[in-house]
Amino acid sequence: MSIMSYTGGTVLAMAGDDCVCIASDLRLGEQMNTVAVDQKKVHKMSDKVYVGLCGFHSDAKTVLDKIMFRKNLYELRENRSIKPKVLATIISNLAYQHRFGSFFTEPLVAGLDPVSHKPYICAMDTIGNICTPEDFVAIGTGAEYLLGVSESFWRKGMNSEELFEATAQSMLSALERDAASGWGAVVYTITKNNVNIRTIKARMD
Amino acid sequence: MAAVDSFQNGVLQCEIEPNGFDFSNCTRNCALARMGAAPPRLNSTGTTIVAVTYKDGVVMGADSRATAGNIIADKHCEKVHYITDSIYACGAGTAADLDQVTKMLSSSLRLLELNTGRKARVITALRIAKQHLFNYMGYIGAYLLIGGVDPTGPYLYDVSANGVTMARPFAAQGSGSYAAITVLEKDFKIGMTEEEASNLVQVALHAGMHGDNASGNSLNLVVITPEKTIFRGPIVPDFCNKPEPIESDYKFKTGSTTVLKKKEIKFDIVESMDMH
Amino acid sequence: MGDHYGFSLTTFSPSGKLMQIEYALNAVKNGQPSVGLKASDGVVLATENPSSPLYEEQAKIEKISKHIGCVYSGMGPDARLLVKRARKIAITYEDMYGEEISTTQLVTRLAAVMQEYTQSGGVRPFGVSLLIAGWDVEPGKPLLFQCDPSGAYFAWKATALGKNDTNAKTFLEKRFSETLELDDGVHTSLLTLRECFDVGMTEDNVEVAVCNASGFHRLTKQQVKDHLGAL
Repeated sequence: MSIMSYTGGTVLAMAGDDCVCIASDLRLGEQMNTVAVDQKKVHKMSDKVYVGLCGFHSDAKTVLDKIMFRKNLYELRENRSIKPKVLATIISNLAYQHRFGSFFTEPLVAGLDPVSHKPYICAMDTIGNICTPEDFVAIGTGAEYLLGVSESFWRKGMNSEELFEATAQSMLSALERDAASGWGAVVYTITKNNVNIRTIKARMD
Repeated sequence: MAAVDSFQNGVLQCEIEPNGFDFSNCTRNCALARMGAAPPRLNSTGTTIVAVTYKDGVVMGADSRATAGNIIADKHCEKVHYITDSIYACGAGTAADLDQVTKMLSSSLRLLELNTGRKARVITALRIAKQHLFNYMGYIGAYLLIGGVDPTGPYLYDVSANGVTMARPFAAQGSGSYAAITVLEKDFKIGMTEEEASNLVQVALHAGMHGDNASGNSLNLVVITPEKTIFRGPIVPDFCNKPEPIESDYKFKTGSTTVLKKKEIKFDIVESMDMH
Repeated sequence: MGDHYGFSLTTFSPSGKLMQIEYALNAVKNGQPSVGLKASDGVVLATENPSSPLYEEQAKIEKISKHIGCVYSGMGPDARLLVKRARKIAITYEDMYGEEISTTQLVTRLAAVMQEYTQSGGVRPFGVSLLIAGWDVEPGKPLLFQCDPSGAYFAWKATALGKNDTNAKTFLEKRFSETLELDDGVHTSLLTLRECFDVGMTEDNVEVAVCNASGFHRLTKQQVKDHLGAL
């Protein structure tokens, strides 16, 4: 068994027209045991920038601390809020620093540029190879299922409501087949005016 | 002298040092591996990369697929890396290694160009790359084709992860290179025109994208001549197009998903903290 | 004994001054004049760079990154070391954050280097003041900073360094306007520089650079000649 699926968990991000959605399941497990049902894998970095961390949970927590440290240092020094692309570069460099003894966590960044409101989504492998498609990215144990279903559900130029439905439904589909993720899901919809956090109804097994 | 050095470094001390690897997780990771935990799957470029020299310059190209096992991790992965205005590198191997090695190459050479006031030479790029890779004894999985034009002419070099380098008139690398090299071996001629060379690179890439699972999606080209550098891409060959269904309407009506709990974060309007 | 406080750099005089820093500023005051001016759509740097038929020219205005450059008054070798450091800082930042360093950040970090040389053992302060010109791509505006041997830095709309800088600054106070465009900015900078010149200005003893949205560029001799002809 890979350490990457020890605690389970899945995160999906989709980009729309001036908005992005980022969704995560809520399960935390120890192999086949579920030990917590309220574990969000999405973390707020600034008003419009969120990070998802999947993989081995204790590494995800350590990496989150390291990311927060670097992000806070950046914002204090530069006296401005961080851009998602800059945050992604920081995380990528952090992950690559541990190239030969990596953290077992895959980071994902989703957000809007604080100035231009341009959507940005990206996912990384455990050593920081960034991939930035225009449509959607997925990480975690359910990533394989998500990539397939999102390929059909994603369309160009969705508004925030359409994007929410597409993201939520993709997530629900993946949870049907991924035993390591589930116990509900939460979807963050980031627009230039607000962030909507919606806990959606999902199967609880 | 030592005092000067130490406090020069001190200025950037609170900077997170970008160079140098951190091995602090190694012991744990090795222990986990001994307990039978499979290591995580890294993104690999898979890749077909091809480069050809011609009369005045160099044409380089790559497909754009990155894979993690059999999953296509990235459809539009940029494998033609900018080094300087007149030097580019195509990469095959571990995707993160390639990103970082080419980034390092690019910044060292641009710094060199600024400090010397001259265009960097391709051989310099090659030296920096091979010394870095040799240092890490092949553990940095970067296989590069470095090509470009400098005041002494057009050059193309092939660099392996262990530091072995070769100068070549034409080259292919990556998992699709077996298919691509057959095309090059058959049709390469010395002193081709720019058009012939760029066509040859495209045909060779097509061969790789056809024959190799880990190559495909689209291709990027860069043509470097003494006067200018032209980047072309992404070009999607016919056989890489997704057949669009006549009717594909997976639109969900607003309210399709049952929402249990809803919270809204409104942004505070703050005066700009910008100090300029 | 009374005036020996200048020998040890890290010792304050009873009046609260670090004499070596004052002396470093004198080195700047005796240096060749430089002028910096912020126009509405870019920044101008101009300086005297005396020529001789016997020696090869060496540039005094240097590029640091795509949108940042600098000029100095004072000791050339000291300035070149700082320029090298500045470039290193800029490129390291680019590697770390994936975007070009903002001018303010570069100035802050370079000033930190200069400050360290006022508080460490076995070294002396830099005998230069720098004028750093930059264009911040976001939100798209020109910036001009002065960096002193003490590590202090100032943001200017227009200023001058080196020989006769007081005259030049008085002149700038009269001639500067925030609505100036880049070409007029070059014109005004050259007029200001003329205030500090003992000899006639030619394209061989004047160096000019501009920094705007397209990046930092040194003007060619021909361009300088054209501007001088229009004075």
